[in-house]
Amino acid sequence: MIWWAAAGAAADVTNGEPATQFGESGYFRMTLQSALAPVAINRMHNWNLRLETPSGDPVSGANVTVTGGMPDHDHGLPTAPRATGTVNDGQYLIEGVKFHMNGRWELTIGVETATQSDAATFVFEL
Amino acid sequence: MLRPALVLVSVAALGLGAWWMAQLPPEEQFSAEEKVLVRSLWIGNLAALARDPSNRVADDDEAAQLGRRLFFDRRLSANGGVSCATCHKPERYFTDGLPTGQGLRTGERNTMGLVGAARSPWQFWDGRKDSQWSQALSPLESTVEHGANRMELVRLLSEDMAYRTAYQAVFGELPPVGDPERFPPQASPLGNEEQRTAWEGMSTADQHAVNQAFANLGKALAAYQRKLEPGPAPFDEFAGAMLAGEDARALLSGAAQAGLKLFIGKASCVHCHNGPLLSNNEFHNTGVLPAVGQLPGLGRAQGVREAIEDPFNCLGAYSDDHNGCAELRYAKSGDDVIGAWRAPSLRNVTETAPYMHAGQITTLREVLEHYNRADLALVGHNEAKPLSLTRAELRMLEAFLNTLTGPLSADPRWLTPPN
Ligand code: HEC
Ligand code: HEC
Ligand SMILES: [Cu+2]
Repeated sequence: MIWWAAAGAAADVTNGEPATQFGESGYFRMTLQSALAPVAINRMHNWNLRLETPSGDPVSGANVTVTGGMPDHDHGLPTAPRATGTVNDGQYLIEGVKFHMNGRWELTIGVETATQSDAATFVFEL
Repeated sequence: MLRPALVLVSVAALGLGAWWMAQLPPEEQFSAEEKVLVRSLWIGNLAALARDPSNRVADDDEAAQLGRRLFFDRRLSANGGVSCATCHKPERYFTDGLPTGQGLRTGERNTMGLVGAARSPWQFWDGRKDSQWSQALSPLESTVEHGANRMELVRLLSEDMAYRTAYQAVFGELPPVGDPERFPPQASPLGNEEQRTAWEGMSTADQHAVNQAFANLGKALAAYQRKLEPGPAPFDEFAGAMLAGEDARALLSGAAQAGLKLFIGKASCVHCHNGPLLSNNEFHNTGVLPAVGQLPGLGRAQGVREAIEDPFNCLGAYSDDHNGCAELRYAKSGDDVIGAWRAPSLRNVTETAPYMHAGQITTLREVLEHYNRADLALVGHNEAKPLSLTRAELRMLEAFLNTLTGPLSADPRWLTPPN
């Protein structure tokens, strides 16, 4: 677990490496990875999300939302990405992601299951 | 007494900045980070034009030839006097020099240049169209622009022998519009009352056939407009030489080089005007006031609604491929995009005045003053923040903007009507 967290902190998501973070409420561990590497501006692309419990069991069937933007510029994402999940292995595909300028970006993954809700914000520089 | 002194000081500052830039050895003019940004704007970094799967004939040369003929043909209008080229003049980088377009009547928006426009996922200032083929259908039936209707346009394609032959070679059979029982003289679901009634009197199959031929007309016009690509400007000569490690100092005035530094640095223009077209083709609220006598427009908030509902969009019945269409599927709507307009390309910007979505701003100097002030927006909120640039810096930025004009990278035949 320590290894996971450390790897997450060091990972360069903009280069297609997976980054792992715990949700703010600690219910879920989220591993986010861009399918486009390196991430380039003005290109529509997908991301992959792996959703697990803190002990590493996959969480399927959750309602996953994706929001984000550039806090320094006071604007959101240029698109409205959507996440679709597979049946049983905790894998989600996030489609319709685009960044339209260079600078510091945030992607916030919201997760809701029947009993728990959580969110993690990934921050990176393009 | 104060004013002449101020002018003197700013002229001196401009001269000094320019002189100072020109004295630096080339490897010190721009930092490594700045060079990355300069490369991103350089035309050498322009990718090949992406395919448009929604238009099967997008890269068909015969379709482009047909599109060229249509583009310059004034018969495609209610009064026989308006063609696409009436407003999109090749000699003015496909703009008209007017605040707002002038067809059958005066429109409400500034005529956009078409150079490199095929690269934008959204068309129009508010992005209410998601392809150029779908875009083309709109001025044809607009009562302030061409004022034609789809029925008479398809009839023209059918009755003019040159059109008929060219159309059929590219798209196949035309609907039998010569049959007066099935095809009224004028008809369109967007026309006047008479034309709408005539349209409603047609069978669904015949409506569909006319829509298909109408969409094909748009696809030929789109194939033509894909040829209108930007070519290298003085900025690109400079950037190319500098990035190749050559001494590029003489290729751009010192003021323009200083302006380039501001553009990608302190003035933050590159946030939105990025990439080799100097535009991300996305929607931003920059607090441009509505034209005198107009209410503030909703901009993208309205445009995205129209794009989603458009029967001629990428997911509609007349698109040649529904698998992609990611831009439309994941388009953002809602309050975030109120008062947002599409950032235009700044290629050839010296030649495309007046500026902004309703031609509200006449000169580049005034555009720069607008950004420097960054007043609050009337609707939504202004993404651009006040810049506190000096007069000398504004002049440098202007000098840089004036280095973005170059000849098109298109076979000259695309710039003239066919004979
Ligand atoms: C009466 C003048 C006029 C005529 C005629 C006209 N246009 Fe336009 N065009 C405009 C204006 C004004 C805009 C911007 C309108 C808006 O955003 O609402 C525009 C926008 C466009 C755009 C969008 C470019 C971009 O970057 O989004 C394209 C493409 C275009 N026109 C092509 C055409 C074609 C093809 C024709 C002929 C079928 C045509 N126009 C006829 C005035 C005209
Ligand atoms: C937040 C995004 C953003 C930033 C930052 C920005 N622009 Fe713009 N620019 C736009 C948008 C959007 C428009 C069109 C606005 C409208 O029509 O209402 C525009 C229009 C323009 C135009 C008019 C072009 C035309 O053909 O009408 C010029 C010139 C221009 N910008 C230059 C600049 C310069 C120089 C800077 C830096 C000082 C800058 N812009 C910063 C988004 C931006
Ligand atoms: Cu930003």
